[in-house]
Amino acid sequence: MTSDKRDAAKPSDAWFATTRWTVVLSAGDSSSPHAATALESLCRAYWYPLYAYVRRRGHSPPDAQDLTQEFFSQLLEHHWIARADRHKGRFRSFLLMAMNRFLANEWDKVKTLKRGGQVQRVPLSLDAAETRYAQEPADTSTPEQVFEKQWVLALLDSVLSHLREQYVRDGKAVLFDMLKPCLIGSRELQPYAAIAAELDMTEGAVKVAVCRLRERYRERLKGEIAHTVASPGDVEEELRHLFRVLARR
Amino acid sequence: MSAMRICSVCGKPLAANAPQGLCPECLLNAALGTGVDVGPDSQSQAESGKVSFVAPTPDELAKPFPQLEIMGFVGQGGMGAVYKARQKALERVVALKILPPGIGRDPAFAERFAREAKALAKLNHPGIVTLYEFGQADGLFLFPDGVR
Repeated sequence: MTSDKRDAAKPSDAWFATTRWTVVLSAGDSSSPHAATALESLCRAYWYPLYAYVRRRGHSPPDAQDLTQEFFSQLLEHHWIARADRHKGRFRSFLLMAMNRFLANEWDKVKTLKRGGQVQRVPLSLDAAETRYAQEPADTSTPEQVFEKQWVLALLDSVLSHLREQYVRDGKAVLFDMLKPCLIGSRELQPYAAIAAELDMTEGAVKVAVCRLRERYRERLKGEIAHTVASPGDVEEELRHLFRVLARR
Repeated sequence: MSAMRICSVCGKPLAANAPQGLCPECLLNAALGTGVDVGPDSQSQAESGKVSFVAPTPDELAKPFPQLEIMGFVGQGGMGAVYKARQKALERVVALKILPPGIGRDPAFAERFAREAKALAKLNHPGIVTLYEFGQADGLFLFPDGVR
């Protein structure tokens, strides 16, 4: 969609007003249905980094599962957003701050009550989360570093999954799967001639398709980041921050 | 146990949950340095596989520039990044421009850079930013008048 492309590449103030974190922040502590949907959608995309954070802080798998579920239930039921800094807050920082507050003040109370029949406002695949966490390579990262690294992976995963879905909808899943290594590599590593022969395309057509894929990827990535920050100027800075998160490994 | 996979571009180990099997660091690098606008220059840069310049954070600049209080990041272009800073001793606001580290290693560029900086320092006009200082501190830098 042309307008989406333009908007994601250059976030205008009007478009930015509709990004998820902006919608949530603008709603403040009022229970606007738009804000609730936007917040739920953000939680759905970024719950795993928080699970990994809680695990790295030393909680057992069952506790981490209860804790993550309870945290998100309370986040959606209560009006914690009013505590977020409207001017410079990012969803990433807010989530970590809210979790730390929750761990310090709420978790003991919740544990002693140990209610039955939790309301699952956000259905989280918590069993799969532990399998995934167990596969993470052991390293000496702090819980905060684990959270940030998993945040980047969740973001990229969401960007690439949506991108692939677009190609699948257009009946071009094979094209996407063949071209995706070109998102990161140079032409020497992925010779267009070989791809062209495999896909029965001309080399020129492959070149155009690669350019388009890269463009769509960058737009989608910046658009996705825009959903988690409070102003258009933060997108580029957040992108650089996330790069540094991975580069310090 | 399956053999550890390696990214074919940067050579770093690839985690089992790498997004779509691609190296996350290289994926972000491909989007960096392109600005929020996606222009033809950035596209050709990504195509050639060049490593983009990652602007240092204000905290990272505190050590090489102890005489400055870095107030914030202003912007980034093809030739470096600009920060708003305060010269502590003189209590004046200045701009700090950092050039990509690799550029300083080219002697011809360093010589040209010094020549241009000297020429700029001699100019004094309301339409031209005044240059206060230039030099090397973990890379080339310029120190023009503050951003207002």
